Amino acid sequence: MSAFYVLIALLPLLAAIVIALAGHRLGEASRKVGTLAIGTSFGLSVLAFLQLVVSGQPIFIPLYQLLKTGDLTINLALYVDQLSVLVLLLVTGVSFVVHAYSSRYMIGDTRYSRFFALMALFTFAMVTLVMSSNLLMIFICWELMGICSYLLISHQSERKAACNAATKAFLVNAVADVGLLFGLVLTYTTFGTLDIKEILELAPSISGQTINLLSATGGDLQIQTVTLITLFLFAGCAGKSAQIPFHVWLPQAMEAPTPVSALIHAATMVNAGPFLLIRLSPLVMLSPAAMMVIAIVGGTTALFAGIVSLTQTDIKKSLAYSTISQIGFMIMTCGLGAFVAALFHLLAHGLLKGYLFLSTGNQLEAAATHGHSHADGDSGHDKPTWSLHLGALALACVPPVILFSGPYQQLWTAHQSQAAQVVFIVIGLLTVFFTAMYCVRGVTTLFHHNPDQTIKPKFYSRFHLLVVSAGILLLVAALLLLWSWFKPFLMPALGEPYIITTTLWQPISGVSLLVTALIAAACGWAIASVLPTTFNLFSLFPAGVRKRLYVLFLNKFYFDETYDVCVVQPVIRISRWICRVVDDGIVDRVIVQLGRSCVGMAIWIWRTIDVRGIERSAVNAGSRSVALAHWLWTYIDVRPFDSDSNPKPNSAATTDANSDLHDVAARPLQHQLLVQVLWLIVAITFFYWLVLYP
Amino acid sequence: MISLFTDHLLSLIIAVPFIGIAILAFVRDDRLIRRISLACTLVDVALFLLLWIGFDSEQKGMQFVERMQWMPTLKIQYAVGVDGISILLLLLTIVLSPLCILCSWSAVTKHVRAFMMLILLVEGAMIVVFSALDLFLFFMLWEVTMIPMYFLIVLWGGPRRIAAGLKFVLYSLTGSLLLLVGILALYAEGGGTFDIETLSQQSYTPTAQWWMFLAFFLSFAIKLPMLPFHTWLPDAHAEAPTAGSVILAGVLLKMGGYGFLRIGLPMFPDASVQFAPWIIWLSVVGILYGGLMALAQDDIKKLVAYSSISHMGFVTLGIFSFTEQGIQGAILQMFNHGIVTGAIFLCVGQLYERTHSRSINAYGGLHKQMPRFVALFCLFTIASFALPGTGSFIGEFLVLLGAAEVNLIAAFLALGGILLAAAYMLWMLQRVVLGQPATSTAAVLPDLTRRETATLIPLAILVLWVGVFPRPLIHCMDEAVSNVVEMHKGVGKSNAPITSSQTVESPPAKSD
Repeated sequence: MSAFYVLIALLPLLAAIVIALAGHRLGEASRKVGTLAIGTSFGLSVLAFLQLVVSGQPIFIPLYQLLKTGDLTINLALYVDQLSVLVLLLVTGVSFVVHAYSSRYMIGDTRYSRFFALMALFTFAMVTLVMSSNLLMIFICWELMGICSYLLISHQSERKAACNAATKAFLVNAVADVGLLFGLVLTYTTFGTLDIKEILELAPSISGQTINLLSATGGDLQIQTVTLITLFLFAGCAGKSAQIPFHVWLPQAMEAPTPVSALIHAATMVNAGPFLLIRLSPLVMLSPAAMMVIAIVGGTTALFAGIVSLTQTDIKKSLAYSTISQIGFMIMTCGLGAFVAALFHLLAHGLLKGYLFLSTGNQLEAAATHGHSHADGDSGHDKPTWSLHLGALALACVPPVILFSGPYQQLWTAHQSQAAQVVFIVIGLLTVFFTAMYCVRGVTTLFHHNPDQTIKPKFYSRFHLLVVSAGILLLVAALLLLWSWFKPFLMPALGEPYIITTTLWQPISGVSLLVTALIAAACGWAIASVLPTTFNLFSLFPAGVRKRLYVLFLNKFYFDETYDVCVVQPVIRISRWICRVVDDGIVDRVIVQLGRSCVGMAIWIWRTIDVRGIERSAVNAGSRSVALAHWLWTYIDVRPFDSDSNPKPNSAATTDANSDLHDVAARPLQHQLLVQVLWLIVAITFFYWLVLYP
Repeated sequence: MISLFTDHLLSLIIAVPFIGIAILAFVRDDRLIRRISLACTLVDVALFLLLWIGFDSEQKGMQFVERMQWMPTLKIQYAVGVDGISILLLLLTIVLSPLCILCSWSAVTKHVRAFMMLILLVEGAMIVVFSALDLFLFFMLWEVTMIPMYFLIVLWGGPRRIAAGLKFVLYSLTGSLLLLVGILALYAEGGGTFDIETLSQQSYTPTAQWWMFLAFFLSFAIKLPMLPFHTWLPDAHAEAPTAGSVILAGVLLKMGGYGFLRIGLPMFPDASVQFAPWIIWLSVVGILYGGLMALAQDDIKKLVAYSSISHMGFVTLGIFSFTEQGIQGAILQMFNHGIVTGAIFLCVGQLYERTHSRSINAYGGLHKQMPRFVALFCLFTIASFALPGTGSFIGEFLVLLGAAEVNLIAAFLALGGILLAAAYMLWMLQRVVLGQPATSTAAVLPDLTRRETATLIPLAILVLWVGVFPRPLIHCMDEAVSNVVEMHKGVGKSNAPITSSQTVESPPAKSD
């Protein structure tokens, strides 16, 4: 029965293959194939979810043996536990909605079927990643998602920006994945297996083990093995989830069609990082140092991206930075040890951001432009209507309600250290504050027009607004209510108490903190509404600093430029230099010179030893011997013996011995060759007889 | 009759290309020549499938062995056989040969008969090299592969073909000379036999091992090619005709790696362990160096040639880790590299046939006119930088696992090669396939014909099959590789424990 659930992964794959092979024949019907397959796999995920709720037993489906070499065996299997099934619901659900959405959105696109094939392939990869029981399988899906993302970002490949963004996205991820792959290698050398379940069981036994980094070079640098493994795995997570310093690819990835941004770059793929950390939580928990790094990276990213998001003029980029910020928050939560809260945030954020992107897509279709702030120029005379601001406030309040609700109460009431607790609250409140600000700013500048504007996007009608707001509030309420059920449901999958329960510091109760958070959001809203210029946040600073700060944030801290100047350009320049100087100039030239000097030496030998001299002396010796023979012949008279045999040649020989020898050279070439061959045969026979028959 | 057939299956596979050459000598019509040579290679594919079915993965040692005295006085014999290592390289040779003929179907118009004869000659010679059990036979056919390659480059090559051919031949001759020296030394040391199995069971003094290993190592390193001996490769690859590049990159380079596994490691265990740390570092430097060089190229064929140097670094890295994962990964890497690089050269050849330009900057925006080409080209390109799901990933991953057990830092640095591979391949892809056409000719190129698609499809299937289901390939070389690894286990852990254990064991034997 449980083998049935293989279809959750298999159906999207089959859809991808069918659309890829028969795409040109299917044409616009390919959307039906994709939507149907993913809809079915969503249905199956719901079934799996229900089964897990009822039985509580994880579903395990063995597939086949990928490879077996030496003591390494890799068996592919699907493993669906409480953690996977929740993410599975998110992935298949959002993917289904996005498929339905894009079947209309993408109409008229020349590469319609390619789009759907890749979307289905991506869904397959993400679904399989979530259900993997093996780290290698996770890595395979991880990279498969990366290449799908690459191909979808470059969907409109006529545009140079899209191509650059695609290459950049893949390469930044490739740098991070080097870390992930090395983490895998380290995991294997440490545990001797890549099966997640076995690793997590073995993990406590190696917590004290250290590894010498410099053993190959004879040095000594001991580091805890678990820390090393976790940090390398985390490097991969940071890449896929766009954390500092790997965040630069995500804003550029917004070159992809908007449904792609909604599915891949907001709701699902970028969540793979937190997912992997949660999946390996027992391992991660063993290394406080690594947890610290994770928390710091996450917290920094959350703040940084929140501020940068304020200054962005492209609505999709603004949303991308918001995504980075929210995922930074999840990562930080993981680093603090609250894995359940991180998962909760992951699910809530995935749903919300998917929704935001899809509605942005609608707006963009209407406005046919990405820029929102610059679109309305220096307007400000027109007073914003109350509905607009109310809507903005509603949007601004959603994140704090999610952030500072049930799951997070656990965090500030009970945690390892006071410092971490304070940092958490401060970063949380700041994130909420900035989120409110950019939500308001985005909404007001986008829908607040001056009369000259040709395109006037509308913030729907008031009725729509109310419905949407009510829907969001309902959703949030549902999430809040879910929480009491959520934690016990998830506990078996994580296996360990995830939060230290001793209370250290309890300044304010949960409810009052929620109120504080809402107040922070309202402050953000108020500031953004009162000061609609882009300088609002920085007005606290003196003018010179303000401008500099603004420029700094507008240019995203110059991360892209720094990478370009410090990494990309030097590598290309160095490779060109090596190619010119080392490869052509040294290695190749040495070889060519070697050959040339061999020839030169041969010529030199030819000249100095003077082969012609040898020839001449041979000729001389020959003629001397002939002369000697002649002399002998004159003195020892043998003429009587052959008097009647041909006297004339003999007499000729006596006249000029030299010319006689030159006659030899004048003989036909064939004759000489024949003689040489005969000699060769004699020599070989002799050699054969000498050597082989001793 | 059937037993005659099955007993001499390997010899039949060897004979088919040579018979083909003999038949071609009497045919004048170009179309017929092409068909006959294609038929020959396809017959070989069919025969090889029979061999593959008959091959028993569980069995130790050589299979399908055939021995015949050739020059009894020198103890030279015609001896062939296959084991798990050679059967994969045979598969590679036999799969690539028909594709070489298909890709030159319309590209080669002058001296078609000579061209086809040379291709068949190389195929036959390579099959013998990969199945020879006699060093003299091995050496002779090793030499034979070089000559047709030279003529392929010089007669049908690009504009700088003469220089490239000369360089190739001089390098190869140097390598062969060292190989000959090594083989003769081995003949003298090993008691006057050329039989590979007998020779690898004997032990040699460390000094003799050191010198002989050096000779063999240099010869294989030139063929492979390893770092300082690589400069023949980019020129030869770039100037050779498409079929020549495919054979060169696909199969000929693997003779070096095969040599290490068949001769270097089994015959000189002490010397190879002694040399291993140096070779591992040399491989890592080669991986990074080749990658950097590829990044700097503007010529597609040269780019792929430098990427070969980088990928071959993984092969030596895996082999000299002396672990099962490392060696199996190295063999798999050779196989995959043959398939993938062969395919990329076929693709580049198809582009070259259309525009007569190898420059990356002459293309761009191909995705519009050539969707089928672009799909296949993308697949091979991403396979080249070892994307999981393609065969190359499994090979490189196993190599890394093996290397990490020996030298963690080297394994980490080798990962940089994968990163560089992604960089130069994607950058090339972006400039060739995406964006806007750079020239007016690039804007109107026709998509692949049916014949061209048929050339690439088998390779695409192989790439994905090995990536998703590598188990059969790995299983069939299990025995052969564990044999090699066993041989080194005693040596690698220093000689002291072995002698001490012998002394401990000997007293009870005496008391009994």
